[in-house]
Amino acid sequence: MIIDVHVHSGQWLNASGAEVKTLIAKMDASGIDVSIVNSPKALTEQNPSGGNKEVFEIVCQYPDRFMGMAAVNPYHGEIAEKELNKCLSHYEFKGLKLHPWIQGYPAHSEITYALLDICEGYNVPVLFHSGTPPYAQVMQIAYLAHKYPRVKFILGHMGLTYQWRQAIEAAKIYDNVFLDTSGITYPFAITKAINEAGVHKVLFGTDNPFLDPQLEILKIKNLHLKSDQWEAIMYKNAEKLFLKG
Amino acid sequence: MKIIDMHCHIGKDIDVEVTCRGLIKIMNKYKVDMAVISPLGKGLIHEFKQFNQQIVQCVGENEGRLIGFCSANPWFENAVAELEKRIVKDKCKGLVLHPAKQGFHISSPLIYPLIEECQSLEIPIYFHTGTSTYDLPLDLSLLAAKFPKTIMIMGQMGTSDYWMDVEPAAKLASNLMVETSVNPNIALIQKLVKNIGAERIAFGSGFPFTDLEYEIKKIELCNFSDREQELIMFQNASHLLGVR
Repeated sequence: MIIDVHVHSGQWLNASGAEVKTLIAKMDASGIDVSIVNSPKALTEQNPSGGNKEVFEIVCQYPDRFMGMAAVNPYHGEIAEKELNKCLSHYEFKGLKLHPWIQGYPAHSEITYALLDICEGYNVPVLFHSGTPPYAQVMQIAYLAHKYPRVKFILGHMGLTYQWRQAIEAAKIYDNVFLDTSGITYPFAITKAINEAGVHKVLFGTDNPFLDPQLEILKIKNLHLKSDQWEAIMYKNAEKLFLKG
Repeated sequence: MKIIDMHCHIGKDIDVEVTCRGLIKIMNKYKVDMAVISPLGKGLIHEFKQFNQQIVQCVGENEGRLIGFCSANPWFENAVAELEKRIVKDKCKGLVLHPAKQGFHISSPLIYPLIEECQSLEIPIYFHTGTSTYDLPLDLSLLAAKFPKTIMIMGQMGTSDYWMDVEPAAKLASNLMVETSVNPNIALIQKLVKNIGAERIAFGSGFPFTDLEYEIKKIELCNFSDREQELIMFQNASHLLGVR
């Protein structure tokens, strides 16, 4: 069983491969059972509902293969709050994705607070892109985790090449900070995260279709984990976080 | 198909370590014919002379398998003399600079004397790129345009975060080559081949920081033609470094 917590669907900029059939083909080729999918378009487009609706339709069409994650633009204010509420209630999405550098605000900006309040109310995690200065710094997100101890935060890409060390520290300090493995290409950093922050803090993710799931799985296989560690990272932690609150 | 890995290290850094023999072993495992090795950690900062010596020794012990790139910290007055010695006497093939670790901005005049020396020695310079402020791809293009006779290698394709700047930087300076390590972005490599040409891209792994199998597989998954694959994996580096 493999759950991928970091997946995108729908056309965005010039990215290809986000059509549902291609996503499923890639999941099948690399043994991924379930993808938790969000819409990059919903992060930035003027119409706040289109991208999330597309995700909802994919989940309805393939309920065994996908779970939905909302994406909204905090600059839309009350419209974004309304959209997020709809996603978490009507669509039964399992979390919120925010991407501060693409959306153009510092991760710890007050404009995210109302959305975090909503996530706290529904007890769903928030996945942040992390590791990119100046707007998506790990410690900006750690500051939010400090301020919102009941909201669970996933540091997407676990801080990437230059902020993985801070990401591990944040996951050690804050019970509500988790790390996803997508995009980071330093195997020793993932091993360190498991050893120092704990295997329960690490979630498998691919960033499919922007990154290749085959590579992302190869990276974890080559860590030669014990079977209980593999199971925790590849699906059990995600089940706990997204399905059992 | 033959493989030259343009970006490996030997020695010890804070989180990783590999010996000369350890590197050869992993190269054999993944059928890498030759690798460029350069200093890491302290070897980029105040101990570059000692680390360069290790590089030269390791290359000497593994003739035909390894290619030395030396480093020199531009803040040190002996940097140019050390560079000249390693190239002329010890047959290193290029210079590695790491602005974020060596503490200078990539467009700082501090490095002009080193670059002028590389220009007169007719050797390429490998730059680590992708650290915010210090070594952004587009800032490297500014430097490369100022020294058009010197081939500059954009190490790690801007790393993860600056993928969007790699192609524009390469278009602004035709003497820039792109090295593929660390950045996981397959779509970027495909786009570069299409828009700037496979002739300007060279495979590198970033070992021991990275997983060599992953880095090789990354290029395989790009589905390039045999010709493109050969250029990236071997011929461009072979031509640039004069090795076969």
